[in-house]
Amino acid sequence: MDLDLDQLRHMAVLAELSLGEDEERRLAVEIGRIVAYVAELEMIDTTNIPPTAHVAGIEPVRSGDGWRDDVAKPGLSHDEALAGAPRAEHEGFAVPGFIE
Amino acid sequence: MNEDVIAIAGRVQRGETTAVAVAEHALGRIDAMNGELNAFLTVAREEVLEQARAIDAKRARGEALGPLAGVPIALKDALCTRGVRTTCGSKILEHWVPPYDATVVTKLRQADALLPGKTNMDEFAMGSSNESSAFGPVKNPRDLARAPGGSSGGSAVAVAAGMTPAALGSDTGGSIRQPASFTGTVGVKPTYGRVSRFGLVAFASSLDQIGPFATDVRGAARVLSVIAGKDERDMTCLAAPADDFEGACGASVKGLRIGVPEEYFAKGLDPEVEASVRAAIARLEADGCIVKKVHLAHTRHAVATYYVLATAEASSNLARFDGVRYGLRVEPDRRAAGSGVGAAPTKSALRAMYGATRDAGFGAEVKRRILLGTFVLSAGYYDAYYLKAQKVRTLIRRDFDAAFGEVDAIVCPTAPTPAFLLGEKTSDPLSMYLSDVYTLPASLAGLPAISVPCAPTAAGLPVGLQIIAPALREATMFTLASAWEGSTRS
Repeated sequence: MDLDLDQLRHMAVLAELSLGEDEERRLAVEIGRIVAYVAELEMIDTTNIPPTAHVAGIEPVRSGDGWRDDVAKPGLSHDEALAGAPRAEHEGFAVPGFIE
Repeated sequence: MNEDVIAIAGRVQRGETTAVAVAEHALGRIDAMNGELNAFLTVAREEVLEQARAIDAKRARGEALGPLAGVPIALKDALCTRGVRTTCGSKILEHWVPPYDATVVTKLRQADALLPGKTNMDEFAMGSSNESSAFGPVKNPRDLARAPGGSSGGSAVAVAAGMTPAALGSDTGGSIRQPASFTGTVGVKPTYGRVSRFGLVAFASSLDQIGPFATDVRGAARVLSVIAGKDERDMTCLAAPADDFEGACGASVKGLRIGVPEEYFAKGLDPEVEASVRAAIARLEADGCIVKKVHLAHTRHAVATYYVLATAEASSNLARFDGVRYGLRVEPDRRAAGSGVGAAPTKSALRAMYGATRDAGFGAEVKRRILLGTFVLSAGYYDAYYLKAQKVRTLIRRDFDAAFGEVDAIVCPTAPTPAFLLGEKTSDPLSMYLSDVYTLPASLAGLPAISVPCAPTAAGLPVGLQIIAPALREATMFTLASAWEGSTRS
């Protein structure tokens, strides 16, 4: 199955990707082929089979048999946290306008 | 003096050589070979010499040195290193310098290892050949026309070419084991949760796991023993005590039951790879292992299951790269922003910046996977693809649970073929995905697995023997791998 272009464009909007028109057409074909392949999963009987989201039981980090103590530790300084930002202004991350 | 991990650490600890001499040797190898192989993206020359001087000074003061004293260990560029840029093979992070170290990096420093640089990789670890790196592919030193495997290809080649005796990679669906197989090195994917993922740039969080490459099994065991263990910064990191991995190397294999899954010797398996792996199994049997057939019936669905789950997780994890907090930012041409044909609603300047940044910063494979992952999670498709794949993941786990009721480990090929040619699979993403068919099941089940070299093909290309063990039974895997390695050297 090919993904139709409208579907592909909808995914691009959800994923915040601005794609060129040639790229959209190519990706619709490529992703359509992969989706057709993974559709083999439909054939497998999974009645009463629970999903696996994660193989490890995720538990909060504990020490001994209780919650670990809430201890303040040094973290990144303000300057370190902003050092990788493409634009920082007024001691914060600077973004373009988002209110019309 | 291209020695292994154990030999170098011993010589530095005993003062028979200095950490500075070892660091200079590694830098010399990197300088001589990296132009051709492209294994390192960043060489941390000053940093590694400073580490070496500090280790030598520590010894001069009479202090005991750590278990990796003076051992150069290359780091996949998905691991954060304070003050040294971390690109993850992507243009979007080309100039990013992390303000902190990954937990595994901290542990290597505490063990007195040397960290000479960051290795090339498929962009965001998405690939099986290193060709999706934004900085050009790594070459396989066994045959420069061939791929080193991926995504941890740079780390595998650093070890295969004798630039460093060990390296760290990350394995989501085979990204340590498959390049180990292609380059003739030892590669270990530990049990999911054995090693902290804090500071590993996330691809698919329920699958990602950091592990070592080394020139030999015992060296890999020592590196794993250093990086394993719980970490309060990673909730998925297990509190299980680390076994004596190094002590497990050299233990007797007599009476160990090894399972051979027929599903891993199916159509598509290269006959020379099959012959090499079957010969290794026969040798283990001669050494006293009990060989049994086992069935892993859902193996053939592992590729479809993986490419639904991993891309779904990736689409969410990679949302953070948006031009705001770190990395690349591209400000679009305001006239063009969001006003394309079809009169879509005008995007805000913020969303136009997100889109332009991500379009310019991500390569083709990453965009393909983000969009596929977005699709399988989207309304109307979630149950049919994502939830369905999670259920099949349960079936794959149950196959292993049943098999491990009968055997202590499973032995099979790491990859269906030896290293393929650069360019051979780039035009067909699906054929690239299928090259991971034998490594994906253990990833989906969270199991530890090792790739150790077995007899090469007639053309001299390396072949990997994969040994998969039950969760947290890495020791069994090391015992079998070191027995096999010993028999190839005797």
